[in-house]
Amino acid sequence: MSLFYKRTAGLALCTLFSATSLYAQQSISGTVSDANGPISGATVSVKGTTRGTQTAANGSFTIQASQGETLRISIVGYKSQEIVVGATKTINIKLNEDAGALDEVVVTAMGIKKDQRKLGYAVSTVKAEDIQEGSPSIGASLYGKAPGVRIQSSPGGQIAASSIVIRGQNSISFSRQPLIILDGVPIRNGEANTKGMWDESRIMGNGLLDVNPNDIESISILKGAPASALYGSEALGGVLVITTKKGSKKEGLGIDFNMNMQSERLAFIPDFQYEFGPGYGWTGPSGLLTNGADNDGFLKTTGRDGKQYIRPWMSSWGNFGPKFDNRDVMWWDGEIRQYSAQPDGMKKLYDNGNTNNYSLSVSNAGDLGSFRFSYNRNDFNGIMPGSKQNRNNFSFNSSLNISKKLTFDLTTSYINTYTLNRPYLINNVNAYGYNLAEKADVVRSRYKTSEGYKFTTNKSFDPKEYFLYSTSASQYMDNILWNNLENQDIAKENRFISSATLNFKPIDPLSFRFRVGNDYTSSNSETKNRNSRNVAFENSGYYGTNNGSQRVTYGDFLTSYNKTFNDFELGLSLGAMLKQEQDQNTSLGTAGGLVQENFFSLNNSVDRLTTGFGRRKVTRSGFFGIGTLGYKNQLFAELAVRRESSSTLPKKNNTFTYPSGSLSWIISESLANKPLWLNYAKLRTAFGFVGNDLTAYAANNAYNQQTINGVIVNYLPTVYGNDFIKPERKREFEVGLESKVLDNRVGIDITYYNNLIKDQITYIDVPGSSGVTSMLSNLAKMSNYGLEIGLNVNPVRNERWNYDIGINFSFNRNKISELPTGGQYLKLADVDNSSLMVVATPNKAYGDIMTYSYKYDQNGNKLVDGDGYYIKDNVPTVHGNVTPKGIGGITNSVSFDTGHGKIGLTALIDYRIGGDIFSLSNYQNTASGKLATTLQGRDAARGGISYYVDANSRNVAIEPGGTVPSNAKFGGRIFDNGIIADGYTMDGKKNTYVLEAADYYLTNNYWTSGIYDHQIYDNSYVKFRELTLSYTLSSKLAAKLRARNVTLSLIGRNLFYIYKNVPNIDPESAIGTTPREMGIDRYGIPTTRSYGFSLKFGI
Amino acid sequence: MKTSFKLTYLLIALIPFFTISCKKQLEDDYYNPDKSQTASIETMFGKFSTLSRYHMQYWDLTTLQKSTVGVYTQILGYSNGAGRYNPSDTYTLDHWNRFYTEILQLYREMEKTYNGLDQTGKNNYKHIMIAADAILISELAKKTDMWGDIPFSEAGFIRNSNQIIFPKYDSQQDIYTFMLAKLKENAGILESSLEPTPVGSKMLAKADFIYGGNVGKWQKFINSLRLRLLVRIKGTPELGSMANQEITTILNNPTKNPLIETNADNALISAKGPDLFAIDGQHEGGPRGGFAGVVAGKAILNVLKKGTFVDPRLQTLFGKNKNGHYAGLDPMSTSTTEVSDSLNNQLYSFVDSAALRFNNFLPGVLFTAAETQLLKAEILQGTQSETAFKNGIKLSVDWYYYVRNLNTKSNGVEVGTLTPPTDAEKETIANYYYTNYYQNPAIGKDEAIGIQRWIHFGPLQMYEAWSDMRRYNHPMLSYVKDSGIAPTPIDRFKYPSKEYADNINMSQQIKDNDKLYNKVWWDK
Repeated sequence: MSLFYKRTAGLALCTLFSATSLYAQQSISGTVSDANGPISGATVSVKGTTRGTQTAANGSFTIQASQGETLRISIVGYKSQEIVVGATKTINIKLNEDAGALDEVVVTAMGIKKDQRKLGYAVSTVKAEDIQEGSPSIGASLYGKAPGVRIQSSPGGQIAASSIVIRGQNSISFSRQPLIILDGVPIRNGEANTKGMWDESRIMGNGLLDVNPNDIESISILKGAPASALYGSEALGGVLVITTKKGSKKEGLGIDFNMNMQSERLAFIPDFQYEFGPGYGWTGPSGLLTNGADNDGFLKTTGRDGKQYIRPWMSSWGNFGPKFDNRDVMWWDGEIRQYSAQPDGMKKLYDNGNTNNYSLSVSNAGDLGSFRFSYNRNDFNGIMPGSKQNRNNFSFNSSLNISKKLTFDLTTSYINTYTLNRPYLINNVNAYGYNLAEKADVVRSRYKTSEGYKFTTNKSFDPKEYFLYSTSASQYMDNILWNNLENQDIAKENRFISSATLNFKPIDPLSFRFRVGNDYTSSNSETKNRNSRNVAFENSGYYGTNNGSQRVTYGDFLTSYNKTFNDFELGLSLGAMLKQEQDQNTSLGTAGGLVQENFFSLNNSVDRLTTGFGRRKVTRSGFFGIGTLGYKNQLFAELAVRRESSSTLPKKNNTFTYPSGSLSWIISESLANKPLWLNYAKLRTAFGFVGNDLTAYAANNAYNQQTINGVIVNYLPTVYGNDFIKPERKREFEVGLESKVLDNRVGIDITYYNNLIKDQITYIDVPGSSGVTSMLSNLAKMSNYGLEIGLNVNPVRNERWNYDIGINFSFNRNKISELPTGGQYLKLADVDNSSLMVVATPNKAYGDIMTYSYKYDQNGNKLVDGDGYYIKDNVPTVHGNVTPKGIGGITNSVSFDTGHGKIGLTALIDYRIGGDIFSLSNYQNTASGKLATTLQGRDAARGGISYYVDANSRNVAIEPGGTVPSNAKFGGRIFDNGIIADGYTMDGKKNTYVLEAADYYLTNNYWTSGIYDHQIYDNSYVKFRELTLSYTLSSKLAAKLRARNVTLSLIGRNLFYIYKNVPNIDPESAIGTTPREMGIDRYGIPTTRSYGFSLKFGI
Repeated sequence: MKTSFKLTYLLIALIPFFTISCKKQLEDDYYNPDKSQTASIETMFGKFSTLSRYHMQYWDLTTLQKSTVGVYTQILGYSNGAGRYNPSDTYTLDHWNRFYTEILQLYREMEKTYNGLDQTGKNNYKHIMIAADAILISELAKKTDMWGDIPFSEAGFIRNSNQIIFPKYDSQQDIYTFMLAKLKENAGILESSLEPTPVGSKMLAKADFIYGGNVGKWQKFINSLRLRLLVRIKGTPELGSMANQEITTILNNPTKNPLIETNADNALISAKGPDLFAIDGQHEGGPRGGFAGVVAGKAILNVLKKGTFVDPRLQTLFGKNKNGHYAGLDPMSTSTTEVSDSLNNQLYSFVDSAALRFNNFLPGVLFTAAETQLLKAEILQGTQSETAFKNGIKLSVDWYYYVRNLNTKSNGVEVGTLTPPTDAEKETIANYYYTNYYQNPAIGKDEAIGIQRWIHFGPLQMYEAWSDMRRYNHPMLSYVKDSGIAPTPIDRFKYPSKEYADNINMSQQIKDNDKLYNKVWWDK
């Protein structure tokens, strides 16, 4: 940890502030108006000072300013203007309306735009310029950008889902990704990669990946219940309100071209040992010598040519065999090869990946309205052999001014995706082996025969090319190479998202808005598995097809009334929404193999086709009202209430109401004598409720139905729903302070929040003897509290240089306060038959890691049994927790204007403090002797104890020069790979039993029987996440190229860790979007780093 | 402009309609469209009588039977690794949960529905409930024989209460009392009114995948089941005399208490086709994966093939090894390397591929005629016993050939059927066992009967074989002692630790008695 603190401290640089000199002030007056007449309430301020005023009802103002100072005129809904004070003392300003101006306007719930100042709750905004060029996805682009927002993207590149968790864990069982609102319409996102290797063997994506980061204008992150409550149940985990780019009047016709090319490289290979090859040690039941190897550890064999050879034990999972000595040995395929270390053996199993992205956009705006059209093409090739994705995004945004009172907005996007062979989880490859002697080029060339069938060890299948011996690489050849290079898993998706909005302002204070939206995905996938054997020998091959559609239909209505009376501003909105989600999926597949080889058709099935069908429909509706009251532009109050209905809940409980309220006090406005250094200060507080429903049909207790030989039969699921279930209810309180000081050079935003989620819906474990194993209940309660700090510092700001530092930090503490189960904990996830579990325990934080540790004596010493092995405790105990304690990011941006152009450098570092991870790959790689750490004790030089094996097969330690009894096994050979487990026997004596190193590592880390406690690590890290070095031509130079702007950037992502604690793996190795899965590294697939360049060209 | 005003008012006016239609939509969408909101007794019985639990199911075979009852009975070969007799808690829990959540929960739902019917309804469904009782008891007995005291009288009722329940543990004696009383009551009802109502008869015929609505056969199954359970407890001080009396009553009045005497009456859940029982190698699939790599134990092979004698059942139970010989895994062999080498080199006899492993028509077995005879052989004396013993063997031979000949393909390869032994051949076999075992003073009647029941139960009824061996102590087998908490085959299973964690109604006494070598009640 100390290293971590040093590095962060180093980054919090001391700053110097330039002094501002003052000129003689004079009175400047004027009026502010727009096309329709004067504007009242506009802020007129002198830039860089604290002087400011507001325009009166007739739009007039008076302010003190000196020549050369800049006046800034701003008001919500208009584009701000700046005017340098010259000789004239009267300045009339005409402001242009700008709906897209997001300078101080934030988009809040239901798409209502509000002045940031008036908000009583925390909203973080991420703007287009904050998103790195070439970000693989929206999720991944948010790392470290907003306090309280935790991102974790799964390994697997840009086609893997990323998880977004806002303000910690909100639900024990029905955790939710934040609701995604795209141009006012909720779109499909969802959890992914949570089913485990057996049920989902490839890395999947989720819906947010389809939104093109290039099209984003801004993202508002609504965090707490008061901010998100208007969106209802689905907003329990927060909301991302995404606004896409529109055509702009100021810039006129614009054509932008953007090209982006990146390479993707394997980032992490565990620290393996490169000295010992395959085998399970020398002695013991599966030892080399026991199994007939020679004294060097090689087995004898006869080659295809009838000659005698030696061979290493290549099918061995363990790597405790003979040292690599470069001698010629017979390989599993019968060829003669060198027995040598393969330092790049693992790396070569993966390809070099790359991503090419091209986008083109055309936009324009005029009196009639505006439009923007964009096309984006993305070609992705991952590091996993055979994985690729091509995606086309078309988007069209338009706004039509039908009349002064009526506008119509239409945003549409069409996304077409072709995905071939999603990355395959390599967990099983690792679990089954791939020993350190395997040669990647041999593996990659021998996985199929020259006839195009899968490799075989069966002589009758292929007398020429069959493998003489089985190999530890067979899982890799089968699951990765054969599956991804010969078989095809093709997924085609067509997604259409649209949002149409009609704004109508019949008379001044009154406005109406109608919106309908749609998110429709039709997907079609095909699986073509080639015949792995000649049909003469065996039936094989498969063809399957899957057709599905996912539809979100949405509509809302909002009527607003806004009026200013003297010192008061009054706002009233009433609205309603209706949302329906409908999914359907049909699958058909061959059974028993393909009759005719590699003819991929449903007509080619050996047995009767298998079929599958599933559907889901959820309807939600809501009515809501919002009242706002402002006083003297200083004090703002808001009250909101929503009445929601959800079809996922039983009739009697399906409608529920919850209120929220907030207050914002702009202290800086109220101060009579505002100090010079203070530019802005606001205190805010909010309190609110939000409900949460559950997944479709989870509560409905119904009978499964099937037909058996034409007879209908019914039976019951073994999990009990609950026809009395109530919605969850989350109560949240927050208080925050926003301030800008020292000439707006330092900005701070602090939020404290606490929440309580009661009536938590969980599946609680019930005794199986009750008739079911678990049931839905409302009995759990959970709470969170935390602090979010955002700090912006602008230490250098002059004509040529600008330096911005953005720091954010947040911590969250979670506690499960009630969890009524007969047992002490509720299992959320597990590894290896519950050898290790992630659990929820009453009065503890969500996500304790529980496992069976060593058994200790009363002095705290590990106990060993009569054979010298550690004794494993028979009661599981807590050894960590998956939830991080703190997260955040630090952005440093420097720009330098050379006169011909601007050089920019942006570096983003993100970090995580605390939270543990269990590493299954470390566990397995220790058991199999792959890790360099397992070298300890393998020979005398590495502390191995010398011993011989006595007649009773017991290892007996021997001093140098000691005598070996004549009846000792293995010819009285003295071995030097002994380890004595550090512990005490039951009778209190120091353990003296010698174990062979292989035995020691294997036994302590074996599947289910070993001690999993070893491999739980604090998962704190500091990562150099993003680096961008860009050069933007000055407009003068750009004009010579007949361009509006030209920018060339070099980009790096996921570059390296400044600090990490977990050895051998990437702290982000875990796959799965649920927080419980984020604490388990199941060795999904290796992570990558990427780098490349981008060129932006606008005309 | 006026148009847009009109539009606005129209939309506002539509809100109430929108609200009303929405409410209805919301309520409708609560219900899963692919599930049924109602079920009747016969549709539930259709599933209840075909649950995969009663079959040679991949999951239970692989995770539990192979490593526990298969080892304790030595019907299967096993290698002497550490912890060989100690069942896995996870898989024990799985077996436990499957009984309560699949079998008992569904039974309770049928019971609840039945109790809610008026008298006419009850009359119509009485015979289905009697059949359901028989299936339930056949499974319930297996569970109480595995664990001893288990939750039953309060178990499985979650749907009646809509809240969490923590069922108490009933003593095994109480469970046996209940089972025998229920069976006796039902046998009495069938004795007096064998025919269901016309409606009931139709319902039963439709949903009954065991006997196709033949109540007479159900009557035989019920009485045979009574006999099995009575024999199991006849040695107990508490219920022994009652049991012996009942046994006598049953055997003395075959017309009132008919038993399963022919293989045609066997209580089987047949695998008629892909709908009824999908054997697909998956977790819920059949023996294809479950019997994969399973070899014969040496003890059973030593009986089936001795000198020149070859039991005709041998070729339906086990296959020949790579070298064309029958070879069983020696349970006394401690050389794990030798055993694993021999396994790897296919030097042992595998469980027969055509009859058992790749038999897509392999039935689930509840009761067979041979068992009736072999139970009679134990109870009866003199020639009656001898006849029963010999008949049991003959029926067992027929049974195995029936099973084998249900199938003609081994792993996709056509292998045809086998010609069953003739009556004369069966007579010879029966006489061989009679002479060399039953009459052999070194072996004796009980050991001879025990051996025959053991062979007959075989890989298809290993739980039954284990219970019978614990009670009867025949056949007598040898085991290598293990170190650790289970040095020898256990006497009962321990309760799953999840039950300790979740069931607050598990008494201290139950916990204290939860030991691997605490014999179950009828075994004391």
